Amino acid sequence: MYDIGEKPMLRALMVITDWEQVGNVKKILNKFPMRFSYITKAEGTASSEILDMFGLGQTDKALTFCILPQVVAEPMMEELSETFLLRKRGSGIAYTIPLSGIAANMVKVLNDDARERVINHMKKMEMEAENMKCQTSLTLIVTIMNQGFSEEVMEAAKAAGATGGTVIHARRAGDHDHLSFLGVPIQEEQEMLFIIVNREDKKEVMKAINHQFGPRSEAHGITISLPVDSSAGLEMLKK
Amino acid sequence: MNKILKEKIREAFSSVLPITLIVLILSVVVVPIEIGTIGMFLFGAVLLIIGMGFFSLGADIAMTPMGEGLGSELSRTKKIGLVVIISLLMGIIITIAEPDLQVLANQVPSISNSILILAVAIGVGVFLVIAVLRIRYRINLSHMLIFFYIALFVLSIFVPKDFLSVAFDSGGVTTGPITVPFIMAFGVGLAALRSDKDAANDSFGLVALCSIGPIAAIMLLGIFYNPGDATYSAVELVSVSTTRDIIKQFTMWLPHYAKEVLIAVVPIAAMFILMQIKTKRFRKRQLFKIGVGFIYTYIGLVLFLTGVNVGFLPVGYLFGHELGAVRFNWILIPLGILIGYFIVTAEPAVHVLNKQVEDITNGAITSKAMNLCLSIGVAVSVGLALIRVLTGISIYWIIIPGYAIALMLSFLVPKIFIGIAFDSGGVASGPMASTFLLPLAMGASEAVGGNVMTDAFGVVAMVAMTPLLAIQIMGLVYAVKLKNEKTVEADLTTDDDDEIIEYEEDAFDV
Repeated sequence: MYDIGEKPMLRALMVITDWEQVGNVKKILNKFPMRFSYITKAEGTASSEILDMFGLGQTDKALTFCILPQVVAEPMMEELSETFLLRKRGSGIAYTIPLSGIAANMVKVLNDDARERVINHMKKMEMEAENMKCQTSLTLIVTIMNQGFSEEVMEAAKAAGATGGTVIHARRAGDHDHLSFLGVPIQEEQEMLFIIVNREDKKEVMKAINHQFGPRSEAHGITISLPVDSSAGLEMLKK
Repeated sequence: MNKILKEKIREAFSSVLPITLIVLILSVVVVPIEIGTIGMFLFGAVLLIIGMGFFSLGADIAMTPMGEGLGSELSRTKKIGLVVIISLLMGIIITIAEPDLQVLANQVPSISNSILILAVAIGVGVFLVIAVLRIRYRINLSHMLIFFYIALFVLSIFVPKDFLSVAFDSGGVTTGPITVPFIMAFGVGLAALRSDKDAANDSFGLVALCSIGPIAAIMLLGIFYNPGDATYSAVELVSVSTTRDIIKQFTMWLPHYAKEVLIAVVPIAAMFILMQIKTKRFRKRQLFKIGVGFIYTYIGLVLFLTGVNVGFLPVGYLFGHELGAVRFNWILIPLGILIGYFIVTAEPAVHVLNKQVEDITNGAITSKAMNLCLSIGVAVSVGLALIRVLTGISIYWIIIPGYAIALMLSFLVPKIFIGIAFDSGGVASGPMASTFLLPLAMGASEAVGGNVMTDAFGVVAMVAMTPLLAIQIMGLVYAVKLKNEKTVEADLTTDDDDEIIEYEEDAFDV
């Protein structure tokens, strides 16, 4: 019987597609052991400032986030590419980020799932269950900032070599800077901007964002980058 | 083509074309209609499609961020007095501005327009305050709705019979295409910053409570103002024969609606500008976008209202009139159901509601499901309304059991569905209901020789009521499904191992 092991390689998978495609994403996820998958609504940043000003820029996107064993990530990505034509620019992207820790009981659950479902599926697809180390030249930049700045931050990032991004609306957590509306706890509105760039552009883009919209600016932007170890739909960036 | 543009065009066509085709087919098969009137209808449909596209785009990029902004800025202030005053003023201002309300006021000539509009506006204002305070004191929405609806029914005992139907109609009518997107977004904004678990549920329910205000206001007017008999103004048909006549009709009315909508949107813009000056919430580029969106909304509404009033109203009336006069006039009922099923997607505010529902629930409740529920709901309501027209039974026989069931259901369904359901009542009964369904019922009622005031009026009230049932039933189905899913996932929680597995971070090769 197959086992992904006590300490399997795990990945966080993020899939960004048009909002209308949510149903299709779910369908694909359901073929795999995807108990830990979450969907949120996001906005794709505008491709041009002019279009944006006339209300034709931002599009509704779905950001799907899930945790899965690395052995599953690759067939999953392939399936996603085929179904969504991720290779066609703009219709959707997917990438994985390595995890650096996880609760052991979750591994058990992932393991159970793997035993039940992954392997059958993988056999069918004649995939080998070896650890595939898939390298990409990409990296994920995440900027968390005050509400209303994402478009301008994106402009700055574009000037430094980025091509596009996805925004999700969030609010501050924790009780610091905590306001209260009529007795109900209120948190500051925030925006999170996700941008995928080539690794060699990473520094420039982060610098550009931090320079104009860093923690000391009105935007209070906090910019971090995360490693991306496989991707689909980002061929125009890959070298 | 640009993706958003394509999407909006598709949406506009798919919401207006079905009802246009149905009417066209019926006019050939069942009710022959003069070619001039059909020409006006078709031209009206074209305006509707263009108007719908502009309105929906404008609602997305202007009305929604404006309402949300106002809501979320208001939720920051700790001064409860300020919250009360702003909510009250906002309710009054946007209601006075609502073009639908003018239509209603014209239909009740026995009360002077300004008194009626003011009364209804204060009604909405007061209930908007109640709705906002409800959130503060965390009062259960369904308890609140039960309390107010029982109060309404008690009040209605004292109301002259002729006023009942109009009163219940007014609840649906006043929450029209300007009020709804704005108040809905306001609710989302109020709830957006909250981190408690009721935040999403409380995003909805404002429109629901606001719909009660006008009903109460008109009932009170009926009791205390003692206006004698309520009357209505009959539909006047103009005869057109040439294409030039048709265009003339539209160009004659266009400035009228252009002015009306302008009066409606200016106070909202003023309120928004005040907020922006005070809080500086939006950045320059966003402001520009909101400005553009505001113009879209304006153009959209003007075209839509002109199209529906000039093109659709006469056809609705003729349909009712002709069908009511034939020997087999029961055929009105199935045809009405058919029309009802397809008409609701043509209500401009419906798309705003659907989008907001999808946003807040992150897609758990889809637009498709909402549309289906609303279509079924409105189909049933038109059927019921026409049964009433043909039989003359009292509105009580339908409204009381309907609301009783809706309120009972509210104890069984997940909280978020209560707010959505009661909001959708106000959303589904917009300009299409008052300019097509109402004239249809009026025409039919005149043809069968019924009392228009008691029998035909009330159709909007039905349209506002049935979605409560349809959407809550969907909620019930959803709750049952969710329960079944939970039992599948239960095995996850058996493991109480708190260990954390860590990976070497430098293995990442970055």
